Amino acid sequence: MVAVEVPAQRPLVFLQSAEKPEICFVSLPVRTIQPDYNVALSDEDRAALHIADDAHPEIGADLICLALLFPSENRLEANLGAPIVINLHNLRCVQSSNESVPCHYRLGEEGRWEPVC
Amino acid sequence: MLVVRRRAGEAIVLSGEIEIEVIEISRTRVKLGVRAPRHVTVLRRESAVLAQQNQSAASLLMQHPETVGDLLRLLGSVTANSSQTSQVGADM
Repeated sequence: MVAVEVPAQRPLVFLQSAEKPEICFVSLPVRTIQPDYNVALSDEDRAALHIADDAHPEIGADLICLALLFPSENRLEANLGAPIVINLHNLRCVQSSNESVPCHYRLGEEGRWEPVC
Repeated sequence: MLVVRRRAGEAIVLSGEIEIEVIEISRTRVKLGVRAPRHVTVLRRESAVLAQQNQSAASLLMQHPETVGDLLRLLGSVTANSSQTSQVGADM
């Protein structure tokens, strides 16, 4: 996958498949949806990202954390419980599964993200 | 929903070919073992939901190309003058 950011379309980030051109995810940095979001990485996530057990990676400095947007009932939703996490130091990437974030967020008509639990 | 009480080491069988065994019971979790033919997909429920969401997400632009414009308008993004595009390759 290639993460593409177009300045005119910030804060959107497009995750484009390098092998299948028809596959392109639209995503947003998680903190544009929930400003105090913190990612909880499982042991499997850390292993896949090559992050040491005792390391405390920070979003922005060490990680990019993106929420995939998907259509649901004519609205857009983002599942912050399953963000795409990219290790900026080695560009390894996983889709994390964070059970401590039970809510989806739905984009309201005024452009605000509303939790849908 | 059929409810069955089982102890560690006991199992249930579905359709005569899928066996689900209770391997271990702790205070907050149950460890299950599943024996099933190769053609049977076994997923955690949340993984199945996530797979469905990912499929929808992957086809968002193909099926709803107007999404980007709508999104930017809703999010109130300011159109930048620059046309430079940045890319990061990620090993997924």
